[in-house]
Amino acid sequence: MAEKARRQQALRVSWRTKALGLAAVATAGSFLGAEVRRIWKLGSLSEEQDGSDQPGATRRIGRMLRIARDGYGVSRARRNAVFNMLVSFMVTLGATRSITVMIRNEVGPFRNVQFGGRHVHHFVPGMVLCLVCGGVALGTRNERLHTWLAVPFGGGVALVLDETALLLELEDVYWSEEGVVSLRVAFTGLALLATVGYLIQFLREGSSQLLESDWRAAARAWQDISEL
Amino acid sequence: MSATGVTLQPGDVLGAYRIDRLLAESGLERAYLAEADEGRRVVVKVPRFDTVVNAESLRRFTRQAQTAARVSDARVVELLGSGQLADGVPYVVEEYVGGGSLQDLIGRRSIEIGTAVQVCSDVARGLDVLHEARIIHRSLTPACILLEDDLHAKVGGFALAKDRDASNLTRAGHTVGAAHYMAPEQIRGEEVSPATDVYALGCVLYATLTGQPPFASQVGMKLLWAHLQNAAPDPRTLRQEIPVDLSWTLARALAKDPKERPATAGTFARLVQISWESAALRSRDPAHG
Repeated sequence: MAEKARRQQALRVSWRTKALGLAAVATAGSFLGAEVRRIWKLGSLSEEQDGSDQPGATRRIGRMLRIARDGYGVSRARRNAVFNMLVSFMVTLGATRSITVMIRNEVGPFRNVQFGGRHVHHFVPGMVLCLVCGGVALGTRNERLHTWLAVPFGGGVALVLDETALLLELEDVYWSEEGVVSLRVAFTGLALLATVGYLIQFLREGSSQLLESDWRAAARAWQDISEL
Repeated sequence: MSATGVTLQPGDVLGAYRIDRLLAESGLERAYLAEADEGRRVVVKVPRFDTVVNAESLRRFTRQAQTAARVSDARVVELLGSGQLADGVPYVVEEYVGGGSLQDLIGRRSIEIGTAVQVCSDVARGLDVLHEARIIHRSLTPACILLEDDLHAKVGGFALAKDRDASNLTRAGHTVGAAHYMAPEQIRGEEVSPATDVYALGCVLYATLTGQPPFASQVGMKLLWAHLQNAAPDPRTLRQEIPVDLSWTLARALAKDPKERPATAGTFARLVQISWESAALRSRDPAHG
């Protein structure tokens, strides 16, 4: 009974943390929603122009995938990178929190990772991911590669921020009152990342920006030619 | 005039011309083979119904006659006359070029590289004459390049030609042209220039050499997107005997930036000629390589 009570107490978070979480999820959600709408709109240009809309569930799924691929493919690399990083961050944070709860409650197949009798906290693979992806990104000038490096990098950042309290206190306080700091920092990181996503659309990006405007130009030109 | 436009029958007489048969049809017009009084064969073009009822299309139809009238060169299809039918519908009379279009030839057989180079030179000469008259063709395709019996080429099809000194028929930013042969700046609705026709000539040469335009596998707006963003596939992947130098020269004409293309169609044709001749020389005497 005492153990159960301790666990319930540890999971309790203040209304401030909940409000911060709500604000972060709302900011990230609205950004991702806007990005998905934009990608869909861009991808739909080629569908409408080609007139290849066919009935049937398989065709509908195929059409959706084509629209997503086309829209994403012509989007600016930096926007795609922030989009990937944000999605990866959110998914990793959600999955990590779920897994740690399951481990704590001894539900499901997950257990703490031990190496040489020592508990390997998840900030360790997080740091490795950040180091490797950041290093490769700094050493290359390939925008497309950066877009995909954003996925493991976002995941790595989420793993590290989720253990901020441990890194600050130098003590495993994940489930204690001090551990809530990790959640607050992670929520703040999420909100900041979404804000960066909003701001980045105002940056000029040379050839990458041309990609998106050329796609629109091609759609407009095809319509003009078809009307001729 | 029929519901689908002006239809002429064999034996009909328009001024000095007697209609023989229908030669070709496009969205804009019908072209008839006719015979002049002196026995010379000519082409009589009359607008289709859609053209007659659409003021812009009708202006395009008459504009092509005005354009052809401004230039006179052996490498440009000659305008012989124009007039109006009884109901006021305009018609134009052009010289008849007996060897069919380059499009027909491409469809029929593989064209020798030397012949392709010759056709390119002829078309470049015609384009230079147009450009000197401040006319941009804007819709150069193998279909509007007509061949004489000895395979020398003439440039025709001026329906979308732009007179740089005249008022625009096209509203600003509006795109016109032939999708497989369209320059990036044309797709973006930007200002066209002689470099726009050089790009189209590059696409025509590509099609003449390989049997297909540069982005033949693309359709719809993705074809235009390919013109804007993708490098044209190396023509040597489709026809290995094309010399490397010629492939590079072709790539220069297909540069996305108009400033990176050869300055004139004639310059491009000379580069093509040099590439071909030097390759031919090397193949005869490898010591020159």
